[in-house]
This record gives sequence, structure tokens and C-alpha cells, in this order.
Amino acid sequence: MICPHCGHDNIPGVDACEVCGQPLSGLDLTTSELERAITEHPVRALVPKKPLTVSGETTVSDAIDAMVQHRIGCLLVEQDGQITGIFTERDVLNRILPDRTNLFSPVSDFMTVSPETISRTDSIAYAMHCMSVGGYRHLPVAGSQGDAIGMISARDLLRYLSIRFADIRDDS
Amino acid sequence: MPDGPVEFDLRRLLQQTHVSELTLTVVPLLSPDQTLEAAAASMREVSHGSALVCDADQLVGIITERDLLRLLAEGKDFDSPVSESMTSPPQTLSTDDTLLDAVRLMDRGGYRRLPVVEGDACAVGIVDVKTVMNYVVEHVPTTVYNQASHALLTVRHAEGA
Repeated sequence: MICPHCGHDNIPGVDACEVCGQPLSGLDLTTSELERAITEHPVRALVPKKPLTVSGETTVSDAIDAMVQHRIGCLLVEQDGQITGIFTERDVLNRILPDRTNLFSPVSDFMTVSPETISRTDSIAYAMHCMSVGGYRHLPVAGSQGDAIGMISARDLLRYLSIRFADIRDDS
Repeated sequence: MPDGPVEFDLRRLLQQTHVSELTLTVVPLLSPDQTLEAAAASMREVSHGSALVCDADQLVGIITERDLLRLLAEGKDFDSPVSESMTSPPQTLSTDDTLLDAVRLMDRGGYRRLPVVEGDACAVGIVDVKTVMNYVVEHVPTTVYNQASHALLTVRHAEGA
């Protein structure tokens, strides 16, 4: 479980955080199964989808074709193995549709630079926090070198919560 | 709010909350003969990615930014009427439906947004995945808002090692 004091990912069930020594046992008493799960389970438990990535020089037109082909609304721009930006269907709505000449410009001109990312070991609760506070629909999952290893969406989170904790698929 | 810690039950929360209790997202309403260009402009105006299409106070379709992305890639003429490219008829919710109904429909149909119809009006707004997520987050606030990034906080090497 993730220590609320220092963030260390402890083995579930330990009494005290092995890094900062703060007691962890009391946490279980006041929270529900859902709260425990989202605090203890890392983002990788959501099985993040593999992200679609392109380089910054890719034209907006090619980026859009790739999004349509993969039936997704968002892609990551990577340079030298690092996430440098995110380009979404909202950028297309706001900045490409009003001026179609932009279709032939590099996607790096229209991406959001240095998007907020999470790591695979961050808790699901933290991912919910980022989306809720930032108002994002997509959160890139970055590896330790800043490389793109996954993408989670608000829909992935809702699906995880509603299947596990509201049994939405268990009744007619 | 009751005193003391209460076991949080997501299913009960979703079952007991009616669509009428949610803050619906108000989206642009278009007529079927308005153009795709007008649909896009109306979405930009409200910073939202969908618009509903109404014909004589009857909800007949929905068009989303995802549709516009695809239509752009296909080279569709954006001066064509929205009725040619909208999803029709859309899956809807009523204000009496529960949040559990909404989540089930989203799961089964793969919908991100569901228009809400009430009485004689064409539509009163939409429920989208973010509306539902925010509602859930509001009900588990201490857990969600007291989060810090693992990457920022984890001590990677023991001090003095």
C-alpha cells in the first residue's frame, strides 16, 4: 500500500511504512474497500493501453489519419525517446478545423507541450486526482526515462470502478 | 453528511443518484440543416466536444468532435448539413434514470456521452464520463485529493547508503 506520508509503495498489510516509519495500520479501519483499492493499487492494474506515438515533425494531416485509423482521440509526440507533447481531437477542433492550411504543418506546432504524466506505480487514486484537478480526459503513463508506455482515460477509470465496485456487468 | 466514517458503497451511490441530481453539461443545439462547419464553431464556442441535433423539439442526432476528426480525414465537405453525418437516433437518458443506468449504458454501448431528454424539450444536456467520474470523486474526496505522485515522493535510495 502507498504510504500517505511519503508515497512509498509498501507491501500490503504492513503496519508501518518501511521508508518513513509512519504507521499504516490505522488506514484500513476508516476506509472502504474501494478507497483501499484505489490507494493501494497502482495505475498498471488498469492495464493502460499502448499509446499511439509520432515524432514532432509528423504533419498534422498524418497525425489525424493515424488517430482515425486507430480509432482514438489522442496521441503522444515523442522526441529522442521522451514524451514532448500531446495532441488531441480537441486541438483539431480548436486549431485545425478553423484553418485547414494547418494540416500540412508539423504536429509539434499544435500539440500541448510537456503534458502532465503519471508513472505506472502511482496509485489509481492519484490518477483520479490528476484527471479531476487538471480536467484531463487522458493521462499519459511515462516510464522512468520519460518515455511513453501507456495511456489511461477517464473511461478506463470509470470502467475499473464500476465493474469492480458496482457490479455493473453482473446483472441484466 | 452522517457523522463518522461510513463504508463507501459505489453501487448504492450510483443506484440512489438520479440523473436529475447531476450538473448536466449544456451543449449546443443545432438544427439538422446546419452545416458541419457551424457544428464545429458551436462546439468551440462552449469548449465542449459534442452538439445535439433537434428537429421541431425532437432530439434526432448527436455529432461529436470524434466524428469531425473522421470526417476531416475522409475529406468530407464541411458545408454539408450535419444531418448527413450525425449519429441518429442517439441513445438517451431521462432525468428519472439513475447514474447506474448511465454507467451501464456507457459500458455496453461504448458511449462517452449520453444526451438527457425531459418533457417536451429537445434535450436538457448530456451526462459524460467526466461528469460521472467527478461525481464519484466528490464522494471519496479525502482519498482522492490527498494523493501525491509516487514518482515525486518515493525515496529512491536509502539515505547514507
